Amino acid sequence: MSMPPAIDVRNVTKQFRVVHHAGSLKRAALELLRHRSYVEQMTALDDISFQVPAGQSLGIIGSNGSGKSTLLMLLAGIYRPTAGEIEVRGRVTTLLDLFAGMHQDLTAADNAIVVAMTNGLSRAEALQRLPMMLEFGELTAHADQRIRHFSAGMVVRLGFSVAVHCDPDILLVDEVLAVGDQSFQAKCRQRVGQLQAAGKTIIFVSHDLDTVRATCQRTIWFERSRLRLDGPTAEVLAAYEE
Amino acid sequence: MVNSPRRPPLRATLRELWAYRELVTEFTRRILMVRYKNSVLGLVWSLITPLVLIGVITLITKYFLGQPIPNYSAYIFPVMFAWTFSNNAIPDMCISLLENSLLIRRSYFPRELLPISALLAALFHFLIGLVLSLGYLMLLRIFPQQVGWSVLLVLLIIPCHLCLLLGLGLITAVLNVIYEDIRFLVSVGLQIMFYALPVMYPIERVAAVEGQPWLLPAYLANPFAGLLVLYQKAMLPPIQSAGHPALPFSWPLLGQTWLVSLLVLWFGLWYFNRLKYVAVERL
Repeated sequence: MSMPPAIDVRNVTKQFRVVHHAGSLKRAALELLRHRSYVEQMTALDDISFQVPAGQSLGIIGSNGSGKSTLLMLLAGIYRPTAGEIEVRGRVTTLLDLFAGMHQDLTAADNAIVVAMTNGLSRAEALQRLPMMLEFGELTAHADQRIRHFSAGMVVRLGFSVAVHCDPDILLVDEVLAVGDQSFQAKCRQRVGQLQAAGKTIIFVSHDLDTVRATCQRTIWFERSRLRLDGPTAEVLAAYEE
Repeated sequence: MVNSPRRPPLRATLRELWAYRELVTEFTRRILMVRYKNSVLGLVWSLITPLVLIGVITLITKYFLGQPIPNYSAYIFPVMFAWTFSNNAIPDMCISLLENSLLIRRSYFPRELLPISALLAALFHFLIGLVLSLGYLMLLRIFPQQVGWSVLLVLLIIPCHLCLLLGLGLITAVLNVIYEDIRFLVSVGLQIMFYALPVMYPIERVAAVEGQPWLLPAYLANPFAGLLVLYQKAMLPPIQSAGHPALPFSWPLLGQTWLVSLLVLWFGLWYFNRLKYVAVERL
């Protein structure tokens, strides 16, 4: 008896059309006239397959442009693959950029609710968790302030707190675990540990090999859009660091 | 959730939109909160532009443009709010994807929600304008003395108006991500269309043009013109102008405008569904 994997990536290829100039009607008309296109295909991921069992923490490493971030966008359902299929079982929460899509002119509380709801919570659930989110981010006193007046560190803390309190089955994280000051970082690591203990699946894209080593049992190394190595973190990192 | 190259069928997209209805409300609230973040007068500002225009047009028609029509300001009141609704909603929907690119690139939700909530925020202002219009008509003793229950016909007109706007909003929103000059075309198009609408002049003037029998049907084939005429005929007593008898409320016109609006909406939903992933990659 085996559980179906939380994430099943089957022969996924992703190509982008790269437009060399900002799109405009004039450009489109000229291209049509000259029978020439300024659009070119770029392969970001080339025939990738792997599975992630529920409860595993997977690190993804590789140089810039190797396809790591594209993979996260595909797992989150933001992009569609060009070929192949991705099956994701469970609620996905993303932590893909520092500002987490928050609006400068909304208060911390309002931003937290909108972001939590785009992560699949109902409004009632979001409201119920709001105090926890604010407290974890040490922002309870600033709940009703617009985030325009927040420091970068405060915004990042808010984004992280919301994401980890959305009760995800699968958490997709891009490079942002190292946020805030020392004590908040320790808190983040502790919270990630709790999620792991609760059987959540975590996909963690990072350049910070120490954090990958500390967090992930398994690591995948991407190189030039292809899967270079997939195995226990210690082995993959040893090969990567050579 | 399975993510594959296959495009989701339109029916699945519609079902998903219904499932996400709570988020639409939240996005709409967000738009309104951001707009009124720190202005004391808040809502009043959104009503000032149409009110000033109504005043100006009333003066122009009274003193410059031919025979004055009694109570013409009452005729402009509801149509001006209806036109302002279109004129605000379409550009707002048009930029809704581009404006929220950070939110889109962060998590998955049906992208249609963004133009839909831009439309609902604009509808909120329009409804306030309609209530104001009704108040003005009561002040002039037009409602309920001269116009009675026919006012309720607006309940058949507003949904039609929404369908038309949403269809156009979806098309322009997704195109505006791919070609950023679409929003300029949209604003020019709306400015020009203002003159092809019965605001500065009553529809009876168009009907009174002699020797051009095609003119009125062609004029009313524009669903925006059809909608304004329908609003006027539902909310106002017959107008005396230009020697042409007042046109009554026309059920065929309502049917025709509904048909066009539903076609535009269907095309908008289909086109958006077809291009939304391409658009997201360009954000």
